[in-house]
Amino acid sequence: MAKIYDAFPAKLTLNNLYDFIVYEFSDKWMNRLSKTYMTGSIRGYLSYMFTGIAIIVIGTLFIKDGFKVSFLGASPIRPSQVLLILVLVIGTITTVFAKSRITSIVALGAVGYTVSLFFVMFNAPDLALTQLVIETISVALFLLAFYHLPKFRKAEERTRFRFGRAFVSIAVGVMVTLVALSAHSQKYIESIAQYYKDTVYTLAGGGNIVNVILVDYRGFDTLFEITVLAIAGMAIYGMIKLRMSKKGGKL
Amino acid sequence: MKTNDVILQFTAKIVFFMIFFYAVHIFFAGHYTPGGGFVGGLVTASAIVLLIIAFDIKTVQSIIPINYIYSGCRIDYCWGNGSFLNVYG
Repeated sequence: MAKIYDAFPAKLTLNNLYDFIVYEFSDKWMNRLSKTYMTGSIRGYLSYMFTGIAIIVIGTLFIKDGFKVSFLGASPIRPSQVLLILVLVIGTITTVFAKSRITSIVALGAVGYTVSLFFVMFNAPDLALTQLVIETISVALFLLAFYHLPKFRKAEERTRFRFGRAFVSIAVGVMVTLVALSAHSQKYIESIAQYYKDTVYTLAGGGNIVNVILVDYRGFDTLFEITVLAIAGMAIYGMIKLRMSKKGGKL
Repeated sequence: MKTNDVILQFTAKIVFFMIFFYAVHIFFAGHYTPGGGFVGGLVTASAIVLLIIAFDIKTVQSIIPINYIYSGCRIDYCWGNGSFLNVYG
């Protein structure tokens, strides 16, 4: 037995290896590695995520040769739509570059209402209704929270141009545009819309095709979507409750 | 935030019921015409937001004495499941 201890020095035992893995490798080195990218800045995390998504999606689009543009079957652009697009772009630019918060909130509302006008134009009354109400509520809630927010800081008013951030935002914009164009142009298989149109009354017994798809054809999808929503609501409830109990207040 | 706007408060008292019953109408109309549970719930929420803007949160809590966040989750889940099972199923 003692021969084994003589043959191997004390440093080369499995115990030491274990200690090295636990204390040196995972505790010290990996911690140092994690600290290089886990900075605690939400902006940093978002830029990682967005860059990753953009690279993966655009890469897949071009490797699989999925990108294609065709305007076959697209409806003509009317002058009123050009006007709406102009309002949309101006509103978005105003939202980003506004000097005061209230201007930003109003411009954001203008953007939302313009989008709902688009839905009206494209014969989607369901979406238009939802968008209108959501925009009204969110503007009202922003205005309610407006009182409690601090003023814009000077540093926020004048940020210098950063190439990395511009690249991330442009990449995400390009990704969404490419995916939307390809989704419209690429027709590998026939659209399922006709099936829904034919069977919406005979199979599901409802007139509103949007709601029937949501709760009947894709009932389980909607069920678990509600589950996700409820979990998110519970998380928010827990966070508020935690803050309240720290302050000693009652909800 | 405390406001004491007489016109806003008087209007809100009446308009709240209009918005609320319109929400109920939208909720049930979703079967055949535009609308549905999502928009109906949103319109209900907007009615309560109107009350909060006109009065303050304490008054609203005494008017409708429920725990908004907790019961919001419950109602969302139960109504969602209920409509999933009953209205269309």
